[in-house]
Amino acid sequence: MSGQNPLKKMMNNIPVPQQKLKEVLRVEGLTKVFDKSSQPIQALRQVDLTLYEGEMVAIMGTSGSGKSTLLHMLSAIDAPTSGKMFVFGEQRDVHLEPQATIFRRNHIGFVFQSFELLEDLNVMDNIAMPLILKGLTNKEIEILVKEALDQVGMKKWRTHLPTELSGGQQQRVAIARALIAKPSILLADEPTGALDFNTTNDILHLLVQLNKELQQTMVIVTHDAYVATFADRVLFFHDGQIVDVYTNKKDESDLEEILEKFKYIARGEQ
Amino acid sequence: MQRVKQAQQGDEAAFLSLLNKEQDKLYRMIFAYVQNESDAIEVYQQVIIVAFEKIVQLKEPLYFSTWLMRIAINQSITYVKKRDRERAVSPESLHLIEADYRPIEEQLDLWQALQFLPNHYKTALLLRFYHDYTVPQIAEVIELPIGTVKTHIRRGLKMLRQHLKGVYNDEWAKSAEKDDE
Ligand SMILES: Nc1ncnc2c1ncn2[C@@H]1O[C@H](COP(=O)(O)OP(=O)(O)OP(=O)(O)O)[C@@H](O)[C@H]1O
Ligand SMILES: [Mg+2]
Repeated sequence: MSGQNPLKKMMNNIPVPQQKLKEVLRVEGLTKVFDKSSQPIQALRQVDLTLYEGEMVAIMGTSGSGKSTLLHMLSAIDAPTSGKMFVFGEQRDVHLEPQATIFRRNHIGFVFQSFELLEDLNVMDNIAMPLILKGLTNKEIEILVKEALDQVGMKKWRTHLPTELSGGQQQRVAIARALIAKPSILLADEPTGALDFNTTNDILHLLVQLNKELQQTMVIVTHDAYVATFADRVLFFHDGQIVDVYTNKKDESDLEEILEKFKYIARGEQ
Repeated sequence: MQRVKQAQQGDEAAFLSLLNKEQDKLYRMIFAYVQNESDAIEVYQQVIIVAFEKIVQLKEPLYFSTWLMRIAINQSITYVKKRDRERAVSPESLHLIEADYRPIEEQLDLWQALQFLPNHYKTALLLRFYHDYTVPQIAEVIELPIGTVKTHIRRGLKMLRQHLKGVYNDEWAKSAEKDDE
């Protein structure tokens, strides 16, 4: 039988309940004002956002629209002026020390555009750093680092120094370091911003693969619409607010549509 | 099929990604037996747990889909039997039988007719006409000889037609019966 016989048609009409998504991080009314200078800057204006387990979210938007500021608030690198934050559904004050450090250690992995590896340490030691800070035993660290090296394909380079590596390789190491402590969420601020097209592609595929295999929740800030096509959800920022959300259809990324939206946001229209 | 091997070594993520492709069809198959959403979700979850526990026993990775389907069918039928038994001993719960699903009008007759069939006919028809399995594949899922599968399909269609008498879907059942001869 080809096509849709009545039995098949009937069966396909049975609604499949959507799996309830589990929220990892949620912010409500997140606001950030930088008021050190004479002219205060509203970097975030009442941002509401929920990040769900296993999803890959891309954030796009014009320069100065507040993308990095948002990541800094989400990771408790910096404190918001006002707003609430919920961790696995529970409201938490994570922006004051010592909670901030504990929160970052337990929940956050961060990847920077400029890699930010420690120059004097070799690849293995860089990756091990979060575990050392957590106080794991050498044996435990060894096992986990080995696994992480495999995951990012850097086993061969484990005793090299960062200066002996290409940009893409350094970013692989940085990703391994960000993921080694199994964070609830990985935040990446323009992780491919310093890389050429082919290397960007490699890093992206690595991130997508880790997102799928580890069900790793990720937020990636990017200027590159191509990067955004890999995300489940794309948020568009403008002037400290989310002005548009685009949800990727399953299995088909629509570059055209994202590019279109990005152009329209870049022009500052709403 | 690498994924099956990984899942057999206890890799949960690999197992989940295997399931990903199958989940809607699997859920609807279960639903065809249990006929309401909350039971279907419960059975679906059981199926996943059982499958993950037993995947080490799967010898041929290529048979993952049919193997999973067999678990789903068996779990569904067992569940319905148990549910019906429980209802039989506590008649006060009879009125609680949830009928939270009602197919659209033109499919209602077929849905009801399907529910009248004994489970082995229902299974054969669903595998053949919903999942597009071949007769040998069905034989594999239900672990019966090919000849028996053919009989189940033929008798199932015939019974379906009897229930559909005079309704438009009858046309399809009649032609399907011819196709399968
Ligand atoms: N530490 C700071 N002190 C004062 N102003 C700041 C500070 N950090 C950010 N800002 C201001 O806040 C606004 C948002 O900056 P942010 O870095 O979040 O933008 P962005 O979207 O990441 O931009 P880009 O795409 O250029 O990285 C900008 O106007 C910026 O000048
Ligand atoms: Mg920035």
